[in-house]
Amino acid sequence: MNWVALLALLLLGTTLASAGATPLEPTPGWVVLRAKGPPVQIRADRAYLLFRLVRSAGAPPSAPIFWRLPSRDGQAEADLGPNVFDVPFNYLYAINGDERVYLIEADPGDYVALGVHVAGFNYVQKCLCYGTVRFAAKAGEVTDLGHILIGRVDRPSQLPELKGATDIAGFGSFIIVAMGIRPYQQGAFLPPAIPPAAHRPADYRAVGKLPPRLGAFLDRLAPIPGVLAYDEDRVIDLKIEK
Amino acid sequence: MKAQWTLLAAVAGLCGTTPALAQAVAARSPAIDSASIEVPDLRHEPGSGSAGRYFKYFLFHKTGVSYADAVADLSECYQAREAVGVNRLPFYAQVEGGIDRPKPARGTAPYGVVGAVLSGMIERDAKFELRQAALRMCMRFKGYARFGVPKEIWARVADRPAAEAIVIQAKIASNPMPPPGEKVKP
Repeated sequence: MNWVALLALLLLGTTLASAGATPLEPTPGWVVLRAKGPPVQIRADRAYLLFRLVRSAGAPPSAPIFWRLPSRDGQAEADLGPNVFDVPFNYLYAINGDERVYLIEADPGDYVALGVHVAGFNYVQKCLCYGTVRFAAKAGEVTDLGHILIGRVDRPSQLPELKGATDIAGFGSFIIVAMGIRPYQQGAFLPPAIPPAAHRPADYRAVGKLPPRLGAFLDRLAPIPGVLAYDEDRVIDLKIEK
Repeated sequence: MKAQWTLLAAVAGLCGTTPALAQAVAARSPAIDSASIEVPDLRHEPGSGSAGRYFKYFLFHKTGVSYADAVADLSECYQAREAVGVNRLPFYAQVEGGIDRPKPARGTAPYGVVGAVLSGMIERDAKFELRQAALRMCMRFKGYARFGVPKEIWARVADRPAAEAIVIQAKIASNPMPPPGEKVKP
């Protein structure tokens, strides 16, 4: 198979689909809000996730994938609908320089930063199955995930947080991206519509290995100072192990 | 919170070696004695492999690792190699590791007919690439160096049942000298 031609065709297919502007059907429990939509009303019974996406030079349009952990009996949860979601790259809420800002209305619960995919591949292209973080998203609050950082795995990244996760060998036919998280820092851009009283930085905790069946390519989140580190393949929760 | 951590601990435990493969490997290395394992001839002309294929065809080496540890590491990573999946978004995933039938919310062809057809082709034809990528990343995180080899050399070692491939690769990985081949990026 000519993979270059294949990728070109895939990109073409994605472009055509985008041009068709097929609107996303509402997904229960996961609504990606857009600035051109109605003004944000922070509901007391809903959780909100806010993050800024920053890409290294040369990184393709990519989006993170989140997994809301079931809190009840598995089948009862499954009946409610999906719990693994992506964020459509073009569905941004605001833009601030090179930061693309996203806001999602979601079910309250515990979430895992499960993976990342290049836009157009509507599957879990990369699972952060060898180490990632989780966080709680509480009702009535805007949980600020900070910056989500994306870089191509096969190229050096100018983002210091992605060192060690990028500039490795490529994956042949596939363009694969690495992901890191820079937790919220005071002074980060906040859309004016976000009520300060509802704004809460995410409290990240390290998560160990996840089932490899969750994704196509297996990787791990880049280390986060004070939160997540690795000793070879052992995941270290820096909030427990100093 | 405690209950949640219990769930996550269950998740973490799922990545261990499954009994079937572990038993198959153990049957081939009952006393963790690698002396009887025959390593195929790995010699080849330098540069005779396609550098562009080294993302598919490679061997591992880790200085100081024991044969037994190499078997354990490869066994775990072969599990990951066999388990990778293509899960269309969005879908439901249980904490215990099972994934229910995906429940698409964007219609049957969210990226157009071309995208749908190509997605199918990728799922069928790229399975080997996905599996080798999973093996490579898993071993990378365990600290193994990677040596690119021609397809023919790789096939002598690894194109055989997993239990056989694991013990031969473990012997190569734990050998004091790295295998012949080009040391490549992890």
